Amino acid sequence: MLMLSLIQNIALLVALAAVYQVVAARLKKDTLSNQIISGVLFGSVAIIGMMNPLHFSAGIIFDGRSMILNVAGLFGGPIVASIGALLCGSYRVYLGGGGVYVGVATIVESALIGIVFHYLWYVKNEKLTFLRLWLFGLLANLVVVATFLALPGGVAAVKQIGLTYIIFFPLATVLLCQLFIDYEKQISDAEALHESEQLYRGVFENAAAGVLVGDANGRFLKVNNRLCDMLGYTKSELLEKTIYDITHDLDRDITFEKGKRLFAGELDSYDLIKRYLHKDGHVVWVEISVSAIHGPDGDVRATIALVSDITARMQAEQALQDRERMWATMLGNLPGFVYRCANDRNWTMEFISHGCQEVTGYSPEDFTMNKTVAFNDIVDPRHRERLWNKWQEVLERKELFEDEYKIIARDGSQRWVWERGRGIFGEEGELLFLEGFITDVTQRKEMEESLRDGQGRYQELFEKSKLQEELYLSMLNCSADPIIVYGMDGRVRYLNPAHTELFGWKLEEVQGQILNTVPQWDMEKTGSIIAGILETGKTNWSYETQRLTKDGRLVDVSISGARYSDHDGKPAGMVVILQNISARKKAEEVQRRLATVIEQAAEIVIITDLAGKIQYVNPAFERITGYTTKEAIGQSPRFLKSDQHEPGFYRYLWETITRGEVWSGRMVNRKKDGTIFYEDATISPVFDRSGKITNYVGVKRDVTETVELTKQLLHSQKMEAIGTLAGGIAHDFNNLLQVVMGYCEILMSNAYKNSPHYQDLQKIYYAGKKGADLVRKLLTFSRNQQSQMLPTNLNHEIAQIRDLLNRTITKAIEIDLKLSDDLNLINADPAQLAQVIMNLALNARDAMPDGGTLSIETQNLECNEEFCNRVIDLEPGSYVCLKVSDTGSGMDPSIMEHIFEPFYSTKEVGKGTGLGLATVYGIVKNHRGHIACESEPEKGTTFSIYFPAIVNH
Amino acid sequence: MARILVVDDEPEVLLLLSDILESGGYEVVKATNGVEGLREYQKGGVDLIVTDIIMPDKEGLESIMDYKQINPEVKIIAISGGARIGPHTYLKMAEKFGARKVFSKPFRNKELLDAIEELLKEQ
Repeated sequence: MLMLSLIQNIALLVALAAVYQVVAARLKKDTLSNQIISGVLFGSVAIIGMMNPLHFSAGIIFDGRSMILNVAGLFGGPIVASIGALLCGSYRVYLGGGGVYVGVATIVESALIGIVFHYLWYVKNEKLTFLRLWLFGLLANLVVVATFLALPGGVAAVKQIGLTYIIFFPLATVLLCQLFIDYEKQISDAEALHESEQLYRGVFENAAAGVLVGDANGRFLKVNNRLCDMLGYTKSELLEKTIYDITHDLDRDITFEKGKRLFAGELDSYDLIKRYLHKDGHVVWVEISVSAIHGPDGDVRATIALVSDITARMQAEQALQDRERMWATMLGNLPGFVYRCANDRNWTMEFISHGCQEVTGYSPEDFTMNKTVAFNDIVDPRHRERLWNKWQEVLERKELFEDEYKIIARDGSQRWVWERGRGIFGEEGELLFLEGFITDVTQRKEMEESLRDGQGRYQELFEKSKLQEELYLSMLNCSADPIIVYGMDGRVRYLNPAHTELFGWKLEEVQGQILNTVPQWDMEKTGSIIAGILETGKTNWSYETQRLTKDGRLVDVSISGARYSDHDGKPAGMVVILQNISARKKAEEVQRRLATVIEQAAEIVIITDLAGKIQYVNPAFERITGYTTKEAIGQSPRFLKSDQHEPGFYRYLWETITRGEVWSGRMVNRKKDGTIFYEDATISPVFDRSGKITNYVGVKRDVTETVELTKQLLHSQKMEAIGTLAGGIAHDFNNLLQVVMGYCEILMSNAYKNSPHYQDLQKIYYAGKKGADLVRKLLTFSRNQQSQMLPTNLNHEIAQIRDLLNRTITKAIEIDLKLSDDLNLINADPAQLAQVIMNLALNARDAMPDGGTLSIETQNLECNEEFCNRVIDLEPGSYVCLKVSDTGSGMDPSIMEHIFEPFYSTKEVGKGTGLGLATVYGIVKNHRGHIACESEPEKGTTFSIYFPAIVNH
Repeated sequence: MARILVVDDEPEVLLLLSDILESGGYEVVKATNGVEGLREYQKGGVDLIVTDIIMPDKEGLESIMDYKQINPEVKIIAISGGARIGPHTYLKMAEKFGARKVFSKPFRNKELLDAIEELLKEQ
């Protein structure tokens, strides 16, 4: 019975402890306040147990408090146990009775034992097994039971309840502890789960790989940012799609199949390299690891996939594969093999390509590390030493190896091979291995040999192979332009004969040398041009400059050229063509000079097109015609026409030059100001190389002055001739008149004055006398008449015949005298001067039958050289000028030409002798003067006479 | 009776002159050119010479110089129909060369006769 109520108390305590756990679940053990609360709770539970105890006797109670405090000590530590013990102790003291001391003692003992084991086990995280917990409970309760012995009637009490304590209390302690252990485990499990959930979320969102969770239909349940970035969608866009939407067509089936198997449970996970489609359509290569997510019942609820973007890797792999394939193809197609070997006497092969099988009959495996055969073994023994020595030399100089030698193939046949290789050196210059290429040249060798043998069987083929090389060489050699080839080091590799011819250097003297043909002043520009070409490889350029020859002359050249490359496509140097443009430069110079000549020429130069439109005129044209270039261009030269030529004149000209012939002749043209000018023109067609006429060029000399002077000369010569003629006639005439008149006089002296014969004789005599007058006039014209030259004032002579003029000239004509004061004297025959004035005045009168003005003008005049150059018989100096003008009918030029000739008259027959102006002319000439006439029809005529003045210095 | 040498290349003029002079009462010696005239003068007995200037073979001027050489006191009258060339007539030249009188053809008969009479009066 006692035992039963004690067990009842234990059950209560266990139940209360369970309640405690619920309360304490929200508390963390570590903080002090939590430990205090925890202690109070433990104390409270113990007190509640003490309220329902096993009453042994008055004041002596038994309950489960010791067990509670054991647990409080073990799990809560000293603070929790102390507080619990204090509360329990206080309550026991309050209950009082005989057992109070023992009661308090058991409380203290239980708490202490719990604390001791707290440090022994709990703090050290020792595993609290069932056995340990039972031993712990047993020890604690044995101590408590021992303490009971101190109770009044303690032995009896121990006998009664001791066994219960020893048997049940340890078990209850184990049970209680187990509850705490489970609870703590639960707590820590929950915390761990929370942490891992946080972790998982962080990993999911921030993972470097894309992560997705999908359902059985392929719909996305969850996706992370990385996946969105990878595919270009936003999260919400992606969540509306299925895995099949974003999968490449070619990978859709396998994705579907794998998914199906995963959901069917046939697969737990799978890895796959597949293609997704980016939102913009491009392919994203991914590597995905897909796992099934199982529900609690074990069925597959969803899939989770880790997605890595391997596009870059795939592309790199693709490129690598391409390159490998290319290499493989190349190696496979090479008529030979590549190798990498050691620089030893065996030429130990590290690698050798499959081509060796065909050339040598051995497989790569046979050669590799001299497994079956060393490469040196198959080299013809006669060539081995040479091969070794040459390689060593080449390696020493770090140059390319190239040679031909014989090998013995596996089948025993001898073959010629050509090898080209080089040493591969490490960073510190140490030789690592040799690399190169070997090919079978047996056929070519045999061809060459057979050619040497003169068999000629392969001659054609061989020549064909040489043809290209020879073709290039002959192209260079035959080129008329100098060509020079430089290496990258700037040294001469080749130059052609044309170069030698122009610059002087022979190939053999400069090959491999630096050749400086650039003049100092062109160094910088040339340098930058070369650098540009080597860098960019541009070909379409040329540069005009000068280059030095061997003997130091400068030659004008136009340079062009190009970079050339070696077998690896690396720039290897430059081919330079130097076109000699000296001739062109000279031609340009000549052309420039010609242009200058044309520009500065005194002659007019006109260039027209085929249609005769003016394309060019020189400055002389502007100067002479008064038209500007602008006004002339595009016009036909006909715009200068004077209308003084017959229409046929131009037609003939045009026909001549269009036939391709040169026309020369004199043209009369009109200037811009209307004046007429004469030109001696040569108009020639201009031909192009094909002989076609392209232009016409006219070169014209202004000969107006010459024409005028010639006219005057001709006129004066004519007058001279007429004068001579007149003189001759006069002489003979006078003799005849002498006879006529002499006999007439004799007859008259003999006849009677009133005889009718005398009258007739008189008529004869006077006719003779008239004739004699006529002859005298003629002689005056021919300047043969005697004259009395005196210093004479012209004004006085005019004044003297003024009356005579007034009587002779009708009143309808006004006589206007403009006589200069202090007129210079002239050396003249006054009578002849009068004759001149009278003659001119009478002519003027006859030109003005309806009246007008006759003006007579005198003035001093200085004739300068320029003026005199235009007048044939005038010397520079002082003159007295007499001008006699009328306002009458005037003359046209055709009449003016003849007015001074004797017997030329426009008057009616019988009205004039035709000797008036001829006499004037003769008198003026006799006075070493000059007479000029200006006349315009219907406007009048002016005669100007220049007499040399007597000037007193 | 004074003797006068007349020289002219024109036969009609020569005939006229001799007619005039003969009618004036002189003896006339005729010559048709300078050479002939000189020959006649050298024969002697000529008191006065009338000569044309412009003649073929020997010009009048040259003849005047020749006559002067023979007789510096010779009396010469020069006549001319005019000159073919030159600014001054030969008559002026003839005067300078020593002709005492000059006449330009056509002159009057009386003019010649007066001049001869005047010259012959001189002793």
